[in-house]
Amino acid sequence: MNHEAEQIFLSRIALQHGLPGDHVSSTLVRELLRGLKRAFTIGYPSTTPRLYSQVPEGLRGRHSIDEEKCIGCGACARRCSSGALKFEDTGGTRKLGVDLEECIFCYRCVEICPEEALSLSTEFELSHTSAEGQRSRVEWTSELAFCTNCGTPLTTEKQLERVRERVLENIDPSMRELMEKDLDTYLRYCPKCRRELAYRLSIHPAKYYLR
Amino acid sequence: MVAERRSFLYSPWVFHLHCGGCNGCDIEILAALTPRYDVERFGIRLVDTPRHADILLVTGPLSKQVISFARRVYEQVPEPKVVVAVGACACSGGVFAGIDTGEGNYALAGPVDKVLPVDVYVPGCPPKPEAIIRGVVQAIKILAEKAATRARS
Repeated sequence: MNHEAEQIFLSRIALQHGLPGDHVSSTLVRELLRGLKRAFTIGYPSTTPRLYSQVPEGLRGRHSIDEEKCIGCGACARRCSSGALKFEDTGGTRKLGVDLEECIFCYRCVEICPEEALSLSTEFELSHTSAEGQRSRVEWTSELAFCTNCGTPLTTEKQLERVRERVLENIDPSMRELMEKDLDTYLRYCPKCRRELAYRLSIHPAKYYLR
Repeated sequence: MVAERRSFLYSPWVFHLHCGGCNGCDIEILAALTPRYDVERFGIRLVDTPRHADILLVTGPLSKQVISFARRVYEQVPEPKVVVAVGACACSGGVFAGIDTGEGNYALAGPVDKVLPVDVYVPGCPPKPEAIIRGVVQAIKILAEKAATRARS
């Protein structure tokens, strides 16, 4: 039955029951009709793959991460509503991870991700038994960068790269050459060392406006 | 004896215990019981009293007020029994997590597994009805194992 025929059929039923004919496109009546036409029950769980295609588009399930795109900035962890997404700096790597049991799938981490590396898949079957022990998690890592002078961890290598790219993209073209040389040095020092060694390394911004 | 036979027949009856959640998971549990999913295919039925149940569906972050009631309900379920924690709150505390570190809510006793022995965790806020059904089907397997070990001993 096509849409028009369905409409005519529905309005006929409505008129028979004394209902105004223009209200019949309501979801309830349509669902009722659908139930009469074919089996209403979704045969879940089943081995038939067809049933898995019934997952609605935009359903928020397990996180999927594009590790190549992720710069490890940790914006997602700061935005997380329930504190499920956390990061930890150990050794030379930053470990990021979502505890899927704590996660409320609010989508805020995906919204904030500046590199569009994080997304939510439609995989919703997350239930597990306690015999499996550990909580279900999605984990990934990113390489850390350290201050050249004092060795304190700064942020991830990829983020520094991205910062450099963005600064050079948005800066006035006349300043670009000057800035490009400085940025390589400037970004590799922690804020404290930057301040202390600014003149020795010739990275103090004064030289731009005192020209 | 009756309970053991029943779990062998794969016809588990569930009891739904609400422990101070937002009602989202409870609505999804009821949605899972509708003809759309038709869980009576598996013999799953919602019963009125824990004394008839095999599986306990627990939702919510478990507030302090509810501890004693949760324990009483759990004790009333005849052996063998399985506890399913439904939702992020029941599994880990969800948005209320951090109770151990003092960041959580003062009125909550923590995730369900601190008070009751949880067998299956169904995360999600709320979990989709299909996800709940999958969790309960996993629980049926555990129930059958428990019944088998009881029958042997």
